[in-house]
Amino acid sequence: MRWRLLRLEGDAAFNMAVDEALLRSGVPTVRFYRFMPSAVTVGYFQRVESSVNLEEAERLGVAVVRRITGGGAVYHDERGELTYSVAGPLNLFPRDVRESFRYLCEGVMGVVRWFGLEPQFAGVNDVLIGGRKVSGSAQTRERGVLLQHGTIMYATDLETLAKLISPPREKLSDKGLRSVLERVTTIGRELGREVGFGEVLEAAIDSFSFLGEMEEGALTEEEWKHVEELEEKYRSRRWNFRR
Amino acid sequence: MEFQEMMRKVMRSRSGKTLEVILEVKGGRISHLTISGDFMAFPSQAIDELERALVGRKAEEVEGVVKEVLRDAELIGVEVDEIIDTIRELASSR
Repeated sequence: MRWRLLRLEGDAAFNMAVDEALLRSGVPTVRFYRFMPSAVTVGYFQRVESSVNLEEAERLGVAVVRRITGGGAVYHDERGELTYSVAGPLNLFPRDVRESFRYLCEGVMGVVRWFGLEPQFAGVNDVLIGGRKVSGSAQTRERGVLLQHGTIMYATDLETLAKLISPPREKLSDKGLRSVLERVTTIGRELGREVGFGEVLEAAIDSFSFLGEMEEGALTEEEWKHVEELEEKYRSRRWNFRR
Repeated sequence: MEFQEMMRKVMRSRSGKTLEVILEVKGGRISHLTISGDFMAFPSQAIDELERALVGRKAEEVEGVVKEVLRDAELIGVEVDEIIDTIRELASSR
């Protein structure tokens, strides 16, 4: 199986539009990207007001965009997080949802190992280091195509994450931040050194090659049309605040 | 005149996810409903469909409707009985 390797990144609305375009086309693709600038995404079923501190997001100028995938709110730090997405026909993945999560999270586990750290798979879709979450993934399936995307935190500013993701009624206290630092970590923090995007990208390309051969490619013309159309949705309040 | 109000319940599911239901009852029937949280549902349209299907229903109909609409859906992070209990509790309160 040959996979198209995509290095395409932009702001949150663009990034989510590209992923949905991949879900529509079904071309077997592995994509690595950053959110530029930093942004928060919320799960398809989440209520924005209950999952994001909107005052803080506004103060920091951080966009909040709804994903097409379920799960929780995520802070995507432009300088500290690599996002992956994998899309392709359902027959390329385990049919069972949980098994397919486990299968694709192998790509994330490999990144952690690449840095000499020991990953643990937890729950359905999380990867931990030393009991702390370093990656979360989400998935959707439509018309015979699977899309899974997820985070790999290597230098995420956890203080900002704590401020943005905690709901407003649990205002940032020392306790809130301490609890985030206890539950969440980054590859850089675990290694005790600075980790750059370049090495994480190298590790990710290497690790996700477990899927098969990868060849750098670009979106098709039709996919670009979808991206343009979908970007509008992801920039609309109607979509982002629909729950 | 009938008294109406939005009711809201946030609960933590057995698998540690959040389930939030906002609901309004008019004349003994659900007139508005939002189901939200950090769970996952396959297919994702199942939850939108469930919200639509529950409008106009009474508390005692909730269980049947939820079971029927979610029959072929797969939920991760929340169970069908947790959705039923949360909606039914709000729909029958007061």
